Amino acid sequence: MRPGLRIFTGALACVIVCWSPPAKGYDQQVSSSLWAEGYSVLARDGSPIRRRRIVEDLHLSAWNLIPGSSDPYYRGVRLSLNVHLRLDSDFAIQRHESRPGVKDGYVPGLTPLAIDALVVQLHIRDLLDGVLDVRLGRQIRIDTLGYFAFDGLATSFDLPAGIGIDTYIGYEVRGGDQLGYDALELDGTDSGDRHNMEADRYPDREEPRARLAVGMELSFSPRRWVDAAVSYRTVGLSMPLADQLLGGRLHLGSDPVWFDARAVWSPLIDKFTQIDAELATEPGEVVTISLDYHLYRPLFEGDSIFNVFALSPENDLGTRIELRLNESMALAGWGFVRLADETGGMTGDRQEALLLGAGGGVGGNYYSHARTLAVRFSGIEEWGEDRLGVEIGVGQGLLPLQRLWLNLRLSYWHVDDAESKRFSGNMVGYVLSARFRLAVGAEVLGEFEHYVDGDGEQRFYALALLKLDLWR
Amino acid sequence: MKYNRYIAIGTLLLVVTVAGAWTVDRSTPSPALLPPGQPAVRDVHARCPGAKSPCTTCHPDATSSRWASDRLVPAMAVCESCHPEVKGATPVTPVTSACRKCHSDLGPAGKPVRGRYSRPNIRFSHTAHQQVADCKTCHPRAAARQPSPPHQDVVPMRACFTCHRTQGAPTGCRTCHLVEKDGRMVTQLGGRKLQPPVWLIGPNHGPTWHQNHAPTAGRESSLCASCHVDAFCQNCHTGALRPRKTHPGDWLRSHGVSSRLERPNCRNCHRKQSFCLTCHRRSGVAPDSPAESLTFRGQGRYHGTRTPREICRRARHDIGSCVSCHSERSCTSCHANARYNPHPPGFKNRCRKLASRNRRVCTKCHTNQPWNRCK
Repeated sequence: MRPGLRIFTGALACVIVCWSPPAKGYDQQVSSSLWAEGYSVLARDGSPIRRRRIVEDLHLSAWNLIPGSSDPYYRGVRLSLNVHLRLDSDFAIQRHESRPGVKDGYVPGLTPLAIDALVVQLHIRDLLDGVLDVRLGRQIRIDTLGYFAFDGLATSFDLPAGIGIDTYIGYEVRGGDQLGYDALELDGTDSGDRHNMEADRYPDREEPRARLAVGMELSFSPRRWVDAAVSYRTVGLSMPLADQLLGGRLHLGSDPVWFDARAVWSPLIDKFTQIDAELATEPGEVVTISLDYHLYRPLFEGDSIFNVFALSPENDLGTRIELRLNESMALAGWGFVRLADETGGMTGDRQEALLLGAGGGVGGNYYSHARTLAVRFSGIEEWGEDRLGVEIGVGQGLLPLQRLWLNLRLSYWHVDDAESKRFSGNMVGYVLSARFRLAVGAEVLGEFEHYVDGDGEQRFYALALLKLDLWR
Repeated sequence: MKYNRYIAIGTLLLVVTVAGAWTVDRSTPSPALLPPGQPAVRDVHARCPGAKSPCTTCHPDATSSRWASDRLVPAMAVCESCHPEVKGATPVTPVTSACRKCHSDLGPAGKPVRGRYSRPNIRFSHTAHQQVADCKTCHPRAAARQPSPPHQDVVPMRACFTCHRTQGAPTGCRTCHLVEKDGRMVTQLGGRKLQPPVWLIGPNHGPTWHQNHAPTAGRESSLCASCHVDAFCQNCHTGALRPRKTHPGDWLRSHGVSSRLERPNCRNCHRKQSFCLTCHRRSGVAPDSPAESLTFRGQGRYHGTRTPREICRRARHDIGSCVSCHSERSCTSCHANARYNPHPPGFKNRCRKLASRNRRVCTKCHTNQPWNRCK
């Protein structure tokens, strides 16, 4: 076991074993998900690339820190502290792959051990008689503009007449930072650690710079059936800006008809990056029928040349029908067509909108406390490529209170990959999993996957997971 | 024409199914919140049409009750005040016609069944509500002396929510619902799962919810937090494990075409120039991989026999897929000269405005302060 992992595992054990009885009034929670997975892929020279991962997700929380706030009828200020850490270790990564200068084979960004802090926040709720919420620390925000992770301060005012004012300021969480992660960063430039890397090796790669971000959202919901908001965020307070978004949403809904619309504009490219609109009806809470439109234009960080390229947005026009037969059973069907507007290309010619592709599927679910069944067929075709297949999953609970749960998922897929015929063909496979509840708040899962393609090649994948949720 | 029969059968099945589901009574609360029980006397309010007394005559403790679990069903002594003929009756005394007048449900031994009242899975204070509403507001069938399902004579949630909103009372989920220690609502009750009502936020949590939850999540993230912790979202959107619903089948083999089809969009959860590019470099797919050759298991280049023009035409539509293997250098090698202009038509009229926000991007291809040439 590597030294870093040994230290972390020891620290984790100490925290769990030595977790002291709580001081009077507040609740402590330790949640841990530890999983190990293993599989192999073939490199282009035919050699296997093994992945042997151990990942630990650790949540440490303290709730109801203010005395008396755990009372069901308490109406005052609430205080909580939440920490979410993740350790991701891949034992199969060789030393020369993760360190420059050892020998050939170095891949920047590949690290055998990564420790990320996803959330470290202090959350204060219901200040000023329920009007103000405050979050301080590393946090993730979800709003009209999408996901954003930052280290800083966020305030949320819930005012009378349905007016809401959210503001936030902080430094964007970036993958190259200590304890940082990049899952919510924009693409665009190759950013990351350049420690010990020669200057002429991966010259595009840059050390990430700290970027201060400011954002706000003003929402208005005077009645239950209407909600509107405008949002703004800028990453980088002065030129050169890394990201800048201006968005708005509108929700109009009164049983049984609802309308949702959202639009996001980027001044960096002077175009809409996303437009979503959906009209849905659900008469009698039995059938849902919706029509939707989605426009998506990829946005990159401000330094990226991809922002100034001639790019065609995706325009999808779709529909969806869902049928709730009862509390346990539901059926669904969906479909869409993809339109595109060529924007001139290299010669400047402008073409009419094209029908680029289409897709859809049908599926059904059945859930009970002891049994599940899911069937799903889907297909999509675009630019001469397609992917279509069917999956059937069954689950059965065994032992009293379904302490043991078995799942079997069968699948067949056909893929036509226009870029590489190597990946085209038919493939069948199954996933077999078993989940066992050891005790309240503790369960273990094992999963095995096996696929065979038309050429007779086989692939295997194994996963083991231990979940703990401890309260004191 | 040959499919008309199947279309007709399918349409008929759909109509019958919808009609059947439509007949389900949805005017009562969820049995997950108010589990049905077995009353000692069925439809007691309808059986006592002559009772003109206020509700508190039989339910005197209602005005001081602060918990939904309080037992407010009157004891036998309350009934005896109007029915002296059953005074002294106990479960062991012989059953008479006077007993059967109210106790119509008899057990195997011919004895009246004992009342079984399940504990409600909500929080409710009669004391707080009596100041703003009378009994018939929430118990209309009892007030109208109508029959009602056992323990179900309360108005559905929509009525509660509307009244709370108009009266300025709290409308947060934890006001009425049971919550965990971390403040999240308890959603698994008696083998049933609670979900937000459709009338509150629109259609939700259907079979395709994992595909179309984004608008609701962006609008109602605080409502989502009533049931889901932050980690629930992060498990997919920043997660390290592959969720099967969005990564079906032999994903390692088919993810290339799936990423180009962008359904779902990989960027919802992955940064391609970190997550994807790292593995592509390691496996030799990316052009700047450590290995020497650009052959792919003897199959030639990854893009096969496509010409640069064909590849770039696809890139215009799907450049998000390109960045999973290529850095900017792949593009500047051709586009940094004047021969292959990568900009869209009319770019010169907009470039000054764009350069005012970030000029660094211009200097990657142009020299000598190119923004001075913008209009």
